[in-house]
Amino acid sequence: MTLGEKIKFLRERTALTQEQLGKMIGYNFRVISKWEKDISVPNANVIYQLAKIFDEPIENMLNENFDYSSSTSSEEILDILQEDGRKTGFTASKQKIHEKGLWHRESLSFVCNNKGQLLTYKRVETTKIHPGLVVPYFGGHVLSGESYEDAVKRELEEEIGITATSFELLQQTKGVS
Amino acid sequence: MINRRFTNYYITRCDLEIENFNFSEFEIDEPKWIDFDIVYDYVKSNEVYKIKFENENFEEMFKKVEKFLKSTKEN
Repeated sequence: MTLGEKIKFLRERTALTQEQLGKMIGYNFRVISKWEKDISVPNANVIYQLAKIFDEPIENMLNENFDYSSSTSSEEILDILQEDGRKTGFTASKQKIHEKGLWHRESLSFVCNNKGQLLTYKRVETTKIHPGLVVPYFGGHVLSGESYEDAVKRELEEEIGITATSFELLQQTKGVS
Repeated sequence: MINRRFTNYYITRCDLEIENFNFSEFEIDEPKWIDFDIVYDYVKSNEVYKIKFENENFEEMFKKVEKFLKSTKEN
């Protein structure tokens, strides 16, 4: 696991957006994005700061053989909801929530421009679910303790590299598929 | 596997050209700006989206998307 992958993993586990993490250590979110994509590398002092923020031993961050994704703490943790949308007070990994069909939260956003167009993309061919599908929105699961807006803001930063400052809520839905 | 979810749908505006975004190569392929009508027809006719939107108010949401687009479109 690369250092960038570790930073991204630990940031998401801590439910921080790239912008929020950047503010904590005095860097722009674009710099965080570059670190996470291994385009550039933070200096030793920053790695020390990150280890403190993530409450992780610095050795784990620097050891390229250490892989968070193979440890039990690697999965995204989501709130389990009741059927009426209220929190149960319990959490579970994303994998378990899907396996058991438990109610959870997701947050999605369309991105438009001033020409009446929507930003779309194709799901990469290496993904397990619907590879090649054209998707007109961005976003994903809401992590435990995170708000819907924080989640969609985080996802936009990760997926398209922008920090959206305002959103209009279109609809709140309850769906089963 | 059953996916039971509460979803908030938002819309936000960003007038950047495609090359000015910083897309995640792990998740995003062939990003494009596409006209609303084309996106609407694609989503409405696609089996994956039919399943996804079965229990959600697809038409109402896309009407709101269209209204937002019209309100922000430059003449």
